[in-house]
Amino acid sequence: MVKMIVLAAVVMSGCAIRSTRARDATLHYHPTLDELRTAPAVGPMEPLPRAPLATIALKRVTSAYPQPIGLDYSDDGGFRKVIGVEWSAEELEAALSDALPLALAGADSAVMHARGSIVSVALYRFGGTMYALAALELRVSHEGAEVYAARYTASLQGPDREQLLVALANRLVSQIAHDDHLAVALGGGVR
Amino acid sequence: MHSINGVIRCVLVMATLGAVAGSASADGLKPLGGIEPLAPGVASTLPDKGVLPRREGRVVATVGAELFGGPSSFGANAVATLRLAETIGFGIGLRGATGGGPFLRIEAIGLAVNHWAFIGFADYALSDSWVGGALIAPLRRDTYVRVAVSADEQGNGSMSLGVEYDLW
Repeated sequence: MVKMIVLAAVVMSGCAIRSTRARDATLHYHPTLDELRTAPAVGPMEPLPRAPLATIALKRVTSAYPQPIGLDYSDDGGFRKVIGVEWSAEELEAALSDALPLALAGADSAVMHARGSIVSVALYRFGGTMYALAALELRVSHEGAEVYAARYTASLQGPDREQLLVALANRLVSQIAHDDHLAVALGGGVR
Repeated sequence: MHSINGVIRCVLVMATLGAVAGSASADGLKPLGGIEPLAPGVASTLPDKGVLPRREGRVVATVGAELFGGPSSFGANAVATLRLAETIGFGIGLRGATGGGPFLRIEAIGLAVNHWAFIGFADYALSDSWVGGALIAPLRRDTYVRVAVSADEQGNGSMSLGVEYDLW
């Protein structure tokens, strides 16, 4: 009996179906879904350090990330469907534009200038959970020559899009404010 | 003699259980984030996409460990399988239980979507054989949970819970 079933199973193995349309769930220029899932959950907002580097002034934050920035899926299961496309992250850009100048403290005595570029944003929704990642490049110049460059990357997950993106911006700014190499490059800075 | 064989089987199965659990924890990913220094004045490139799950490939080699139980049996299986398109597999295993021993596993009649899979399987051993169906669900990158129901030639049913890890 079992041998018959095994034989039938082998014969019917042509019935196997495999869907390959939604491989890995993320766009090719974004991290994999497994990597996004490692993001910590959004927690209570930490107060941002104010004016830690008083010798640097921010010129501007530009957006230089590929679009779309992500996809909305109906759920996290095997039969998930794409129900939307994420195109931009205005909340992140606005939060960075607000918080970054405060952290960098563009005082009158500023002798260095910084430019920030958001080079990657990934925002994916699986049912009630959103996964977000953002990368910001900061380039600092002094008398026309770049003296420091770094990429700051942060990832978070949570249910609310706006809260997630604002928290992500704060996390990036916090990384910059606590970047010891940046402080050294600026000749000690003021912390 | 029988008891020695039983002990050896149990040791082998437990070793496989440990190896699968160890491999599964080894593919732990760290949260993305941090500060990456760049060369001043030089344009930078974004990091490459991370490694995709091995199951994205057409053929994968998988090892697994399962605990099973039913009205008339209880034990553990250690299985190594070569699987095509997530749904058609051929493997060898070792059953650690009363009347256990080596067996052949054939998997077929499968449906796999986004690495979730339903597959039928038949375990063929000299002493006894089982047929059943399994649900395989992704746990993390190369690690999967396998829940199965099966029945032997006498019609005795059993359930099993296991972990699979893709080697390549």
